[in-house]
Amino acid sequence: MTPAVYDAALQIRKKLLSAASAILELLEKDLVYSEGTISDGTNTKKITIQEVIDKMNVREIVAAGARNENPKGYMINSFGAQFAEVEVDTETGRVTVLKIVAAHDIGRVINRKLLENQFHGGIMQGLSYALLEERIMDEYTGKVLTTNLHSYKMPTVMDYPEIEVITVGESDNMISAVGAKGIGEPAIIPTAGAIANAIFNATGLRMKSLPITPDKILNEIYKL
Amino acid sequence: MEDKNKKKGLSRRDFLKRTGTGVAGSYIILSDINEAKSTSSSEKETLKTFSSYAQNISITVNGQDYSFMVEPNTTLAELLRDELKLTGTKVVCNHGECGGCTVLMNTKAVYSCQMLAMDADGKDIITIEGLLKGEELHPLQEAFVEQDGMQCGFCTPGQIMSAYALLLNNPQPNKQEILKGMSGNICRCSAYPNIVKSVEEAARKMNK
Amino acid sequence: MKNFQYINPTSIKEASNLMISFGESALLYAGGTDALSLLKNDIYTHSKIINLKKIGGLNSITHNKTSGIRIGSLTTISEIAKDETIKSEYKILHEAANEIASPQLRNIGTLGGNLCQSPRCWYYREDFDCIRKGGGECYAYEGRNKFHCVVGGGPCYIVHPSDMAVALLALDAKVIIFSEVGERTIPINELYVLPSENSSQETILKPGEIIKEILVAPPGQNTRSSYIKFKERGAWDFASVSVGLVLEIVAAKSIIEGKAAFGGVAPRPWTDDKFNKKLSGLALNETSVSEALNSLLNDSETLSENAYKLPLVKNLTKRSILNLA
Ligand SMILES: Cc1cc2nc3c(=O)[nH]c(=O)nc-3n(C[C@H](O)[C@H](O)[C@H](O)COP(=O)(O)OP(=O)(O)OC[C@H]3O[C@@H](n4cnc5c(N)ncnc54)[C@H](O)[C@@H]3O)c2cc1C
Ligand code: SF4
Ligand code: FES
Ligand code: FES
Repeated sequence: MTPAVYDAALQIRKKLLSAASAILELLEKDLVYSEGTISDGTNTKKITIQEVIDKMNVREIVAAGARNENPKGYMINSFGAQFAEVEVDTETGRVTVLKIVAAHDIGRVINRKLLENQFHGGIMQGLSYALLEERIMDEYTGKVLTTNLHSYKMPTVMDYPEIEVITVGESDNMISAVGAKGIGEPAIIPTAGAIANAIFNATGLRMKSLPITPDKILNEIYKL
Repeated sequence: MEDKNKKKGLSRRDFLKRTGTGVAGSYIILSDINEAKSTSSSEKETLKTFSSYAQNISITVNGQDYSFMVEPNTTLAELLRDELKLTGTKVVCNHGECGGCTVLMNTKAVYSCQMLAMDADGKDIITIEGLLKGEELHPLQEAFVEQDGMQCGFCTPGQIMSAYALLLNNPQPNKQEILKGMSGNICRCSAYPNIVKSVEEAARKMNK
Repeated sequence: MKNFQYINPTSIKEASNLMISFGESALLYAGGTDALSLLKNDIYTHSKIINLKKIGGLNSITHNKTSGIRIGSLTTISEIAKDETIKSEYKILHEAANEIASPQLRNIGTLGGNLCQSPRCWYYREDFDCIRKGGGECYAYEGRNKFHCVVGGGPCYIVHPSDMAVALLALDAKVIIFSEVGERTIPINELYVLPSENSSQETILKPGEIIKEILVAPPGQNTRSSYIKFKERGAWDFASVSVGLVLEIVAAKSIIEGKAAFGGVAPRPWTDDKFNKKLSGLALNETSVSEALNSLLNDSETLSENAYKLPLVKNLTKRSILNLA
C-alpha cells in the first residue's frame, strides 16, 4: 500500500507545481518544493500550498495511485528464515515455544515500530497455526463443531514467546517506489515449519499434521 | 457528548423505553400467576411482587445517572451501544469468549455481552468513552498509541478496559500479573507483545 | 435470544417456591456466564429466569478454626481466588479458582453456577439433537471426541467442565442444599450423577432445590494440596485433564493418607477409591508413585480420539504428588 500512497502523493505534488508555475509565472522545472512552500529556489518568488489551493479554487485535490508493476527481468521475492526454540513436555505432550528468531528481507524499513508489530502478529499467527487453531468437523454431518471463539482456540496473551526481529536486505528502488517489500504475511510462513523442526530436533518426532496439539504428541510417544 | 446521548436516548422509544421517574415499573400479568401451579394465597402474594417483562433499572455510566425501562433479554452491551450509543464497546463473539466488550462494573472488568442489562441495576459502569477527559487521552490510551499496542484496533477498547481494571486494583503489577490481568482479551492480530509494553508504560506513567 | 421474565426473589425460600410454581419453564440464574450463552443459542428455552443475586447472605466466605470454611453459593470465583485464608490453607481451591475462565468471567461467575454448569460437549452446544437433549443418539461416541470422557461414560460421554467441583471433591467438601422441605447436607460426591443414572442432568438437584453453601473441613497440620489443570491454551480454556490432590504428608517421606480427584476424564468429577487407598503409606519417590499409578483408571473405555488422556492423567498425578513432597 505504501508505494500506492507514495505514487498518489507524487501526482498531487505535480498538480500543485503545475498550478504554482502558472501563478508564479515560472517554469515548473525551476520550482523548488519544500515544507509546504513552492519557490524559485532563492525565495524571491514563493507561494504556500494553502495559497495555491485557494487560487485553484478547489476544496481538495484527489489522485489515485498504484503500486508499480514488478520490473521485467527482475525477480522480487520476500526471503525469510526463522528459528524456533521449543520445550516439549514428553509427559503431557505440551509444546512450549520459548523463542522465535525471525530474519526477513523486507527491503527498506519505513517505520520500525509498526514493522515489529507486523512481525509479532505474523509469527503469533504462525505459532497458532502450528500448535493451536483447528477447525474440527463432524465427519458424518459435515457440520463444523468449533464454531465459536472458545472451542476454536486462538492464542491469548499467555501464549506468546520471546520474539527477536532481524531485518536484512536494503532499500531497493526496483522493488517499488518506496523500496520496501513488506512483512505481515511473509512472517507467518516459516513459523510452523520452524516449530515442527524444533520438535523433531528435541524429540525425534516428525509431526506431520497441524496443529501439533498435546494429544498428537502423546499418541506418538505412547504409540496409541 | 454525554448530554447529546442522553437527549438522543429520550427520543428513542422503540427498543428500550427510558422513563424519567424512579418509580418501579413492576406490574403483574395475571395469566402468569394463574399459570403457576401453586394456588396458595401466600404464594400468589409472593408472585405479585415480581414484575413481568420490562423493568426499570437505574445505572451510572461514565459518571452520569440514567434510568431505563429494559427488556430482560437485553444485554448490558446492547444497552450501552444501542441505547447510549457508546459504541466504543465492541461486540465480537457475544458469548464471553473474546473480551471486546469489556467494561468496568463497580471497578471490576466484566464482559458486557455476557450479562443482562438488568444485572447492572444500581451499578457504576465505565466504558472506554469514560476514560477521556474532554479531548485528552487517558495515560493508558496514550501508551497504546505510543507503544503501538494494536494493529487493526478492534480489540483495543476491550484491552484498554481490562488494563484499566488491572491498574485500578493493582497499580504496580509485575509481568506475570499483567499477563494474567490481560488474559481475558483475545487479539486476533496478536499484538500481544506491544499490548503488554503499553500496559507496562501506562503503569509507570500513572505511578509518577 | 427469546424474551423471558426476570424474577428477583429476595429470599432463597421464595426462589425455591417460584421454581416449583413455574415448573419446567423456570431456570435458576446466578452470574449467568453459562446460562446466558445457552439461552442465546436456544439450548435453554426457559421463560422464567429466577435471579438468585438479590438473595442476601449467600455471597461471602466465612472461616472458623474448628468447623472450617463456609462459602455461599453466590460468592464469585474472583472472591474465592483472592481470599487470603483460602490461599494459605486450601491451596487447591485457590489454584482451581485461578484456573477458571478469564478475569472477567471470574468476576461474575459464582461458585453455585460453576458447580451446576452445563457440559461443554460441542454436539450439545451445537444443534445436534443428542441424548442429553432428549434425542436418541450420542454423536460424540463415534464422532469427534478428543475432549470426551474415558471412564464412566454411556449412553452420554461428556466430561464435567467444572474446575471447582474437582477441587472440592478432593477436599471432601459438603454441599448444603435448600429445598421446600428444609435444608440437607450431602457430600459433594453425591451431588453428581453419571449418565447411566440420568442422561439429561448432571446433578441430583430437583426442581426447587438450590445450592446454598459449601462447607470444607479445616485442613490438618500436615495437609498439602494442589490443583493442576492441563489445558491446550495458555489461559481461558477448559481442562483436557485436571488433577486435584489433598495429601497428609509426614516429613516429606511418605503419605499418611490422601485423596485425588480428576477432571476431564468422566461425566462427573471423578475419584477412584482404590487409588486413594493406595496413597495411604505411599513412599514419596518416583518409583513407588509410578507403581501406585499403574492401576489408575484401569476400568477406562477410551473413544477413538481420547486415549491420550490416560497417560496424561497418570503423568500429571505423578507430577503433582511429587511436587507436593
Ligand atoms: C468462555 C467461558 C469459559 C469458561 N471457562 C471455565 C473454566 O475454565 N472452568 C470452569 O470451571 N468453568 C468455566 N466456565 C463456566 C462458568 O460460566 C463459570 O465457571 C461460572 O462460575 C458459572 O457461574 P455463574 O454464576 O455464571 O452460573 P450461571 O450461568 O448463572 O448458572 C449455571 C447453571 O447453574 C445453575 N445454578 C446457578 N446457581 C445455582 C445454585 N445456587 N443452585 C443450583 N443451581 C444453580 C443455573 O441454573 C445454571 O443451570 C466458562 C464459561 C465461559 C463462558
Ligand atoms: S456426549 Fe452427551 S452431550 Fe455430547 S453428543 Fe453425546 S449425548 Fe450429547
Ligand atoms: S463480545 Fe463479549 S466477550 Fe466477546
Ligand atoms: S488489534 Fe486487531 S484484534 Fe487486536
